[in-house]
Amino acid sequence: MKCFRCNNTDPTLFYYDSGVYYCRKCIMFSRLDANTPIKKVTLSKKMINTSPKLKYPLTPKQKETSHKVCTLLKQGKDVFLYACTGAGKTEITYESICAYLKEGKKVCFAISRRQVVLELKERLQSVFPSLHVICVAQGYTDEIDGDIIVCTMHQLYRYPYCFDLLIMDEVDAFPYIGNEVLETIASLSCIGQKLYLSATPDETLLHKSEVVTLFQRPHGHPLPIPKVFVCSKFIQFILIIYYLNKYKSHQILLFVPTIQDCITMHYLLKPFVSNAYVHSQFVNKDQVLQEFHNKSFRCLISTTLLERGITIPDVYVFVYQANHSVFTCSSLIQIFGRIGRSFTSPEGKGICLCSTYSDAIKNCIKQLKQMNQDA
Amino acid sequence: MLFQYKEQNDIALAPVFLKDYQDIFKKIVKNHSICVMPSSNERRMKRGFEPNIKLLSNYFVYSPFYKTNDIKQSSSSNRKEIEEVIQLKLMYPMDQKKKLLFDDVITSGHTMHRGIVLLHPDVVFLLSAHPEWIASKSMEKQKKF
Repeated sequence: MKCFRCNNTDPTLFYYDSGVYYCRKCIMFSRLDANTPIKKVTLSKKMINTSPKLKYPLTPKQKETSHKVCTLLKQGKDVFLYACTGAGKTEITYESICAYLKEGKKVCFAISRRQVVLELKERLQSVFPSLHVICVAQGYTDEIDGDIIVCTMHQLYRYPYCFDLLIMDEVDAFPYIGNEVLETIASLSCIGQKLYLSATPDETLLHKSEVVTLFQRPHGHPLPIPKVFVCSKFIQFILIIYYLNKYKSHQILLFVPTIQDCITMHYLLKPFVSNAYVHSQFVNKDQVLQEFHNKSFRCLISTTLLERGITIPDVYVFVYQANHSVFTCSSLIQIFGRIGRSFTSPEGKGICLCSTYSDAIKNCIKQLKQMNQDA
Repeated sequence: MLFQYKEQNDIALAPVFLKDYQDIFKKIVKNHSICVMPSSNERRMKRGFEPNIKLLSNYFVYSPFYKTNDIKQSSSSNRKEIEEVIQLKLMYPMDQKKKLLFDDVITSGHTMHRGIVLLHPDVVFLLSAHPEWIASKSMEKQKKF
């Protein structure tokens, strides 16, 4: 007995209903009976000659990396683009996207998070205005075919044997990492090459494909290395106040381990700085983020919710209790990757506050320094 | 979990929903007959089963209502419309016991209201309630949920 969607053969994960067994391992993607072959979904294919309309031209390093990635993909190889935060991974994929579209092949951009899908769709549509770029995510499933499909990893179940080029962003992030079912469904959707993107790859992912690296940001400035302070929680709080005062002219992103810490820190810091907080269970996340972008307040306190995907020009980053288990090495690299992402503010400060100098902090600093050296 | 059961046909979940309420439910149904709110014929055909009836497979259940067209309440923009769509089956035989009206979820309350108007049940049993429906109740009633 086998499920052809997720390759499950464990009999305890099948359930008997009215004469058939169905797979419960991948039930969240709709019910599929055991031993039922997956039918290929037919999507439109057309030869499209297009080139991206970029706001800023690619740097020589970006062009070189982009070309290298495209060449390897054309050779039929899967590629892992290991690039530092803010290197312009998305821009580097454009050459490959155009090459595949020119041959009448189907391209998909799959991302872990729904919010990023919506943002990326707008971005790709502005870069390729003549193309029909669609997003497929929860709440956006009426239209599932376009010239370029941008979707969450989960939505890949709709596209068995469809894509010649599957670009997968943030493959080291939840929910994709370690999720056998999602990995199988992603493999099922791609009949050609996969292009993985990440600034913090897992070792297993690096071994699966050809690795192309880019550790230089477009503005050429090095990745900011945070200052680490090992001290008690009380002293960490004092240091937060001290640095809030020192960096008066900058907005601050303050990362804390838990939702409760968000709320506590908000009230403790209220007398010292205008601040707001956001976390996964917070209802008006988008509104708070917009207000932070508009500089309605100076300090935004957040859990790891904002560790990826957010760009605030000229922001400095503090991390409180960075030794907490929720802050993995990848997490810290992504968090401090929020600093210095724009041409107008290519440098910034990071403050890493901890009770103990954990392995995650050690490895984060080591990797950031290594990336700067390799750049 | 309810979505996985109803819309993705995960029948294995059917026994889970009432598991913690078996004792209360058994007490009530000693003196009450269970009546369930309906799905439309089209949705029943598409799913291959009637979710409320499958949930209550350990009990005898009446299904005295029907829908005149295939409105899916959860995706309807005019929820009040359901009150015109749900009707009582004519000549549907039921015993003379008091009635318990059962539904899996209450959101706006229109479906349940229609059931109450048509059947005049003695008891209403809801498996789950949308937070917005709870918020529409008085503070005193909200504390009971």
